[in-house]
Amino acid sequence: MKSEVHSIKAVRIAKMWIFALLFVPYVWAEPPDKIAVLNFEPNNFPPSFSISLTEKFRGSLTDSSDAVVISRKSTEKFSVLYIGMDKDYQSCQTLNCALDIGKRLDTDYLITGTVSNYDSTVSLAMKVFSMDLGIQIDSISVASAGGIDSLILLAKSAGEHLGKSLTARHPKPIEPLQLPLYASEMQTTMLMGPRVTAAANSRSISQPIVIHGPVPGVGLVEYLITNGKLRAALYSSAMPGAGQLYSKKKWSALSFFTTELLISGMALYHHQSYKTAFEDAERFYALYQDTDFPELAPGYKEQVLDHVNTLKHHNNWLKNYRDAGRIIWLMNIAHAYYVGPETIYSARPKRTDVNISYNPVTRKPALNVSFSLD
Amino acid sequence: MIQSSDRIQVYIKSLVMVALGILIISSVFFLPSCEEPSYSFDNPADPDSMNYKPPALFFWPDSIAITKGSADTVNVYALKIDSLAGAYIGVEYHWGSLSIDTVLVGDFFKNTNTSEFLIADDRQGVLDIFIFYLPDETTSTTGTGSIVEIVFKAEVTGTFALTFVDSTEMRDADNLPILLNDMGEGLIHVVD
Repeated sequence: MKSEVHSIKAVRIAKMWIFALLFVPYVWAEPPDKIAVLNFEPNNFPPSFSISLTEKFRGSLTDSSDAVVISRKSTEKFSVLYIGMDKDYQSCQTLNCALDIGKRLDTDYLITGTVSNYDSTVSLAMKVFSMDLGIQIDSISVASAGGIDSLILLAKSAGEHLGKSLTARHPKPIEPLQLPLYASEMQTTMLMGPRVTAAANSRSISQPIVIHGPVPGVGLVEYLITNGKLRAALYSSAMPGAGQLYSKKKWSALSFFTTELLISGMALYHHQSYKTAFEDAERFYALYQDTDFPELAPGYKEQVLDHVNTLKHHNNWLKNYRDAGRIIWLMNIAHAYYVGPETIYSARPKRTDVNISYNPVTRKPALNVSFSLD
Repeated sequence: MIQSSDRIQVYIKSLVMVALGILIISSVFFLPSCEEPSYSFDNPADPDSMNYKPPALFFWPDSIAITKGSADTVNVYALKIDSLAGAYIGVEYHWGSLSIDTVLVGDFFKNTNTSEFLIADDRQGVLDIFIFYLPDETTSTTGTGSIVEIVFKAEVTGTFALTFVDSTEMRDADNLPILLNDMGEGLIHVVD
């Protein structure tokens, strides 16, 4: 009996060990790395092919590694507008920009690239940035004289190799040192809300705090300034197509602007015609009222009625164009909101210059004035 | 941090955009004034408000005031008459109180291509007017207008009626009678 009890206990213990061996690694395992690939910037290269190439590269990364490759839609939810540059994301080739976007996308690695076509040679130059290390960790260049198809093959191959090697070559760094907040940072915390607190608490010594976009508790104006969708909608409400133009949708912007311009032009034409007919009707009615000659009165009356018919015709068209213009105007605002970027990124932080705050350590109010030295 | 020059640029761009937007939006929203006027055609000189059934003859002005001893003109009008080439118009008036000063061809009957003939005979209370074109079987006039102008002189104060005699008739270029549906009346008020 005793030996049976012992054997059952041993089986139970063995089962527990097997269970632990099987599931504990999953419980304690780190989440998979996230990789974001920004659209490759086309240089003398068709933009549509560039986007397609980026997609294929993303696909090969996904297939070749356990990392989560952030979808194209997710990477395009921010607007990246550098002063003096026209394109979103594609222009992001600098470390600061890459680090910032990477953080906003909550990714571990960010890959940017340029695809070029010169002298019948197509080439793809990529940069790999690590968010944890805060540096560019790799650069890859592939080139082919065999056209776009061979470049796609090369890009796929590069994606496979990169996907396999990324997590192996750069394991997760040790958790950064948790630093207490200084008094000046506490002021910042008070001003900017919990996001800044989190950023400040989790930073390492070498990493600066960089916060962009809407910060809770900052205020409506700041929110409006940093909310791209609202800004696009506001622009479009002021001028049809402006919001689309702001969101880099040039054809949509042109379509809305041209349509609205045509409609307003037609409305203007009918308004002028209406006005002319109205003036003529008034003139002949005055003649009709003033005449003492029975032979003239019917003629004036006929003229008045003719002009009234004309003005009614133009007025009807005027109403039609006005209604169409209003509908398209509303559609334009809705479209601008739909295509507008969710938040706005700027190479220069859009913070207020002057802040009033309260320092709980010194228990005194403080006036902070900040200005750029670059 | 946005530099002040950048801010100014942004503000200027925003202002230009807003101005352009106002231009377009206002043309769509505020430009139209959808007022459609309604007119009342109640001029007494309008034949449509006289309630005559055309073709018709009537005096115009249908009521005039003349100072005693002075003269004024009353027109005999044709209303929507077709192919008028000649007419006999008999006008009854109060003889002794009014007198006929002059009878003239009206603008409606005047024709630049042919001569018109006017014979007026005052028979002490009835003025016989014969008016016609040279009978060429083609010349006629159509529409509304004054056939003859009669200048009355006021002799005695009072209100006196003018009427057409029943034998008044119109003829076309083929000398066929034109049916008249209505004949109006006139009033002359003679005051001191």
